Amino acid sequence: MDFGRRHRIPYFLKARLLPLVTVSFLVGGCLDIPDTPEPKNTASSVTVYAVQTGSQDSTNLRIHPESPATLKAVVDPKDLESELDFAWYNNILLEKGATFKIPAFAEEDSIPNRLVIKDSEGNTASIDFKITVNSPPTFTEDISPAQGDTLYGTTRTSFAFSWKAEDREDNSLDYILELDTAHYYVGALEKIQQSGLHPGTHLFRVIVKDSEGDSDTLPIVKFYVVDTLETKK
Amino acid sequence: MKACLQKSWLLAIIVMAVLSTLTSCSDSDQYLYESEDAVVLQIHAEMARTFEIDSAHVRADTITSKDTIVFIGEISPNRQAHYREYYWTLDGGDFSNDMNFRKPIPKPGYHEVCFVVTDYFGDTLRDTLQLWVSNPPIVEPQGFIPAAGSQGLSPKEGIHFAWHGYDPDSMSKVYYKFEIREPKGLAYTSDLHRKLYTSSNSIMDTLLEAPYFTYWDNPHFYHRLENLKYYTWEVRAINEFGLESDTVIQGNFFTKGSKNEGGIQAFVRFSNEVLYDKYYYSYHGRIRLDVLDSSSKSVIQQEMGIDSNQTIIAPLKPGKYKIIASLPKLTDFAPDTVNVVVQPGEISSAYPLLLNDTVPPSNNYLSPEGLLLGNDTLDFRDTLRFYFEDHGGDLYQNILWNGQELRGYDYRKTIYNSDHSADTVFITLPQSYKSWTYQLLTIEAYDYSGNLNSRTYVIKPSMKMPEPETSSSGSESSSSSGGENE
Repeated sequence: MDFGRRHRIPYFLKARLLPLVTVSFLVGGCLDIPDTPEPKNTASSVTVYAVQTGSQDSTNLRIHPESPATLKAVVDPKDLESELDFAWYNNILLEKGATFKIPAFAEEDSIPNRLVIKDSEGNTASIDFKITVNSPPTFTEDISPAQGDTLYGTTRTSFAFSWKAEDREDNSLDYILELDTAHYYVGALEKIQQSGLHPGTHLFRVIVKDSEGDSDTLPIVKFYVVDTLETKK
Repeated sequence: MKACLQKSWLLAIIVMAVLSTLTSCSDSDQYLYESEDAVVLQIHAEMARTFEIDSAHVRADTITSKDTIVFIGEISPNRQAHYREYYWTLDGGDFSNDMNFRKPIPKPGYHEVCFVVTDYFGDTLRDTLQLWVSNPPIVEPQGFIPAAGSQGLSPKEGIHFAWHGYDPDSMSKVYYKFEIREPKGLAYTSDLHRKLYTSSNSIMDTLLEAPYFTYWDNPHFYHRLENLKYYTWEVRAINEFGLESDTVIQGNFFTKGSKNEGGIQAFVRFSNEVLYDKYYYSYHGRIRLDVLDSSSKSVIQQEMGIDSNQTIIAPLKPGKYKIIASLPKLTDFAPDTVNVVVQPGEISSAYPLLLNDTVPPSNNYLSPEGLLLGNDTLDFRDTLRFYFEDHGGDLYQNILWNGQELRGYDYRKTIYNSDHSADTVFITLPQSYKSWTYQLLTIEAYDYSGNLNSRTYVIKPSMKMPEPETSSSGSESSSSSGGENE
């Protein structure tokens, strides 16, 4: 029978293979190879938004004090939000949760400036931020010329324009005067005199901006110039 | 066996010979460090505006993004010193591999330009230059407050100025040099080219941090804005690096009068524009302005200097006026008249008055006895005197001898009379001009209004024609020549 011969292993191979196979079995038997871990999602970012009157702002984190606002922690990817714990701080813990409600006219120390995020395994991360509470400036009623006024003079006559705005935070104010198609940067001036107005209808408007970037605009005022020299003729 | 040993010895000898040859050719000793031979490398970086020798070399500077700068690297003791490489970096990045080169740095901001040299031993030497790149600040020359020519501004109620200025790089703080001036008149350069800027008195000169300003009248000010006056104002922007704006805001305005007061801004020009420059108060006097009301009654007489081109006549009651401008000391300038309507509280600008000189100068021969002679035929003399008269300012003359210009200052000397209304010109004729024929001397006199007087004089023969040699006797006397002056 050739069968047995064909599977006979030569002696020199036996001498080398047997220890190798034995060691392989021993090592293989000792190894406790774990199962392939399941892929675990990690949050790539957490962003704090300030939401007020329908608008959402994450860059300047600016809110107005007159109305309530909400701070919102937005996680990317969104489905991880439920697996994280959020805590809002201002020196002390103010509240837990992915959102924080700021009431109208809130005190400064009741507005969070730090968000601490914690995952299910106890890892934490924090975000420091500053919420700017600023009221936009508002114009008072003192404006001249008033709607529908008639001014008398020539193109060389200097007509007075005046206005006034207030700012709750006493920020410095800058004004831009729009007179017909011209824009004049008038800085903090609240009164100017300007000439060059031809007889007829003119439009006038003032825009105010505070140092925080909030602004207000006056409604357009329509006034009339009557040339006194022409009427004398 | 013996042969084998011999071969081995032979091979050993050959190997030894080759090795000794190689060893003797090597100059490896030169590469051994010898402290005495070591040269300490020094590097130095500088920059300049140009490659010219007289261009200042600096190590820190402020430039604009349009400028190009010359960077100069120096390795001492000389460039043949042992070093591996050199290059330049700009803010740590690649900049150039040239020793000297010229490049712009367009990006505004602070920059460090570093000259880097690696010496033979691999040590790196650096020398760093500092550069601030900034564009000049901008002021918009249009769209300012108050607009040019604004009337009725009240110093007591405050005069508000506003303009648009900014730093295009949003990098540097911008300051504004703000000036209010009261113009006096036109100013001229020495080469008589007319300039449109005005000589003026400074009322206010200040540096502002914001592009607006309010003038409030203050009795403690040494210079104050007055009512019914004309003022100019000017703004230049300057940034923290001292760069000044390319544009300048130039405005003007009139201050307020009461309801029953107004004024006139009168402009006076001359046909003789050089008069402004050659103005001598004591000789030429002042412009006289006579203001007449609608019934031709004189209301105000006012004078203004010839070196001024405008003046304010105020206060005047609202109404119609006539202004007559004249120059009493220069009577060749014909008076001019203009009508103006004065509005309440305002200064009305009158149409420019033109004092026009159409009278040419006169020109006569002045005898040695000092007599003005009307004759045109003159004897040849070493010096001829001519008297020019004009009442429209200074003159200039051209002297022509037989149609050719008599050049050279030596030929002419001009002496003015006491009020510059007349010149006496001395013309020295060289002996070589003597002739046995009639000669023509043309004298052209111009005033600076362009009026010309040209007069040609006939100079009698100053030499006798040599007589034909009829006999040998008398030839000596006829050969002598000479004019009547000899």
